[in-house]
Amino acid sequence: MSESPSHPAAERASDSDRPTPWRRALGGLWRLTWKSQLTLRPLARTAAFLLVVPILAHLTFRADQLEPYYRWTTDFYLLLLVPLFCLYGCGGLVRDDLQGHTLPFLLTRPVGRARFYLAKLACQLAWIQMLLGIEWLFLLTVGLWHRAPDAAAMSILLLGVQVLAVLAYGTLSALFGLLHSRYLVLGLLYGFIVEVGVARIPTNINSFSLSHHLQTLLARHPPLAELHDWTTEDTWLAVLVLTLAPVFLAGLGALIFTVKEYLPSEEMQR
Amino acid sequence: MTPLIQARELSRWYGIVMGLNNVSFDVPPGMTGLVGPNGAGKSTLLQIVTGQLQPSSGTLTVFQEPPWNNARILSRLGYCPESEAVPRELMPLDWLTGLGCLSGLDAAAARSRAEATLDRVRLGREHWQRRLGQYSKGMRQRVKLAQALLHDPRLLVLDEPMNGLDPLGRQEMAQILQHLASQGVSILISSHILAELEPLCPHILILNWGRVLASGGRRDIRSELKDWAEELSIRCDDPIRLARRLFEADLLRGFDCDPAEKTLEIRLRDPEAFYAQWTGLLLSSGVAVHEIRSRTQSLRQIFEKVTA
Repeated sequence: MSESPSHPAAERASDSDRPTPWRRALGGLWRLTWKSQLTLRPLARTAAFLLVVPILAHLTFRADQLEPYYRWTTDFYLLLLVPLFCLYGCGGLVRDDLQGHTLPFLLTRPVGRARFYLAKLACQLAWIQMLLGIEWLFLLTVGLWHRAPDAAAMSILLLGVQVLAVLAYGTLSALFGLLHSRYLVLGLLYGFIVEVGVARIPTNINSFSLSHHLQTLLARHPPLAELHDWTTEDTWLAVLVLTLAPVFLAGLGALIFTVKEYLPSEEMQR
Repeated sequence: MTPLIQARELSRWYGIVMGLNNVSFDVPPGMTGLVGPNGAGKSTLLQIVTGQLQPSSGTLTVFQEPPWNNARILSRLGYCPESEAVPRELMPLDWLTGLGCLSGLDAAAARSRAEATLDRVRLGREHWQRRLGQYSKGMRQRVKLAQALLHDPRLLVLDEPMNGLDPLGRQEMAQILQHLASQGVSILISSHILAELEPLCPHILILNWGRVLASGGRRDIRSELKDWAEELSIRCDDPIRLARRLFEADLLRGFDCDPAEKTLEIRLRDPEAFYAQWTGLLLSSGVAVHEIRSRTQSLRQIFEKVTA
């Protein structure tokens, strides 16, 4: 190869080069997250979800009745819709950019892969927490409107459990998204087998399901415990599992993302 | 001078498909063209350079370090992928500001850098309030280039940036790249059309079937591709005698002689050796040469033959 004259780029290569700090990586990803969500199609989907549930709840409630309100807010909303919303919202954390061929723009920034994954997950979880926080407010309003007994007290517990549920199901869904492009199928299979099936086995094996621990926490509200026949045994275990599971799952996801390559399938086939 | 990129026995395979096959080369600072037909391994190489893929075997270093999961190296790189895809729902300033923050700039600096780079790639301000999904191919290429320039990289890696551009767009893109190069930015640019890169790049790397066919300056490439590089057409009074002398001197890979037309077409074994001995051989042969024409006029012809 022929010798080239000295080039400024080579001389500048010794300047200080630092990875992007956490705060700026989070800021950039947060901006990209909400800017892309607050556009017509995603906004319409989100608005539909946020409005349909309280409207349906409003139509089906009867004033002063305890059971329908509790069934809606726990069985249907917290234990079914929240996990599904997390699966939909966090499963595509990496896959959506991968399938949209926009991942290379993000991955070639000076952010370590683990840091990138964790920051993106944090932004997505924050976004989902915000949306489900609004949904929680709607449900609370419906409950108060229909004078559901003890609605306010139950809703405060519900909000706390919802925050933990989003963290746990969100990090799990993001992991499914990393593992396979058909993360929705994977998540539904997991849901049916573990969260529905294993959770109902009346032995300690039900500790493997996150929903069992959510129910344990919800049982702190006596009318709910009575209605569902849930117990408050192992409350601390439930708190521990729901706190540590997201940490473990996010760490595992970061590890996988650090070692595994993610490129659009046609690139890999080429 | 230390190369910006060094590959040694680098291979990358996807299952049983070889993307890159045991290649070794250096990329010096400056502007380097990466040329090869579709499927040659160009994108695979650029993805390894930008830390998106890992080598299956061998090594590749950028600024003397492996780029995979290396934020320090990525802070010096700007990458413009081949795919046309951009986040369709975003406006260019929002997208670039977000990416600027990811590149380590604070929000205000990212915003002003985004504006400056959009100006730099000559995307008219009247288009800034439109969503990227509404952009033409040429405008998307400009925004893609702008995002690669946001953090003032020292090495710009561009995967087929001229794809889909009309002739005017190609010319403008070439001007932008030349301007960047003149400001000290090193550029590694790929294309399957050599003619696009030949006037731009002092250094060329030719890939085909995952192997490096030639690398170096334009002259070096001609020399490296000596099997194909030089073909001369000589009109003289005794082509048979001249052919015999050249063949005896072991300078030819082959020849076609047409005594009626008094022409000799020769394929050189080693152009350097040929030109060193040519004058002496010609004088000693006593053949009168009327005209010599090189049949290999540009790298493009070499490239077409090599990759055929």
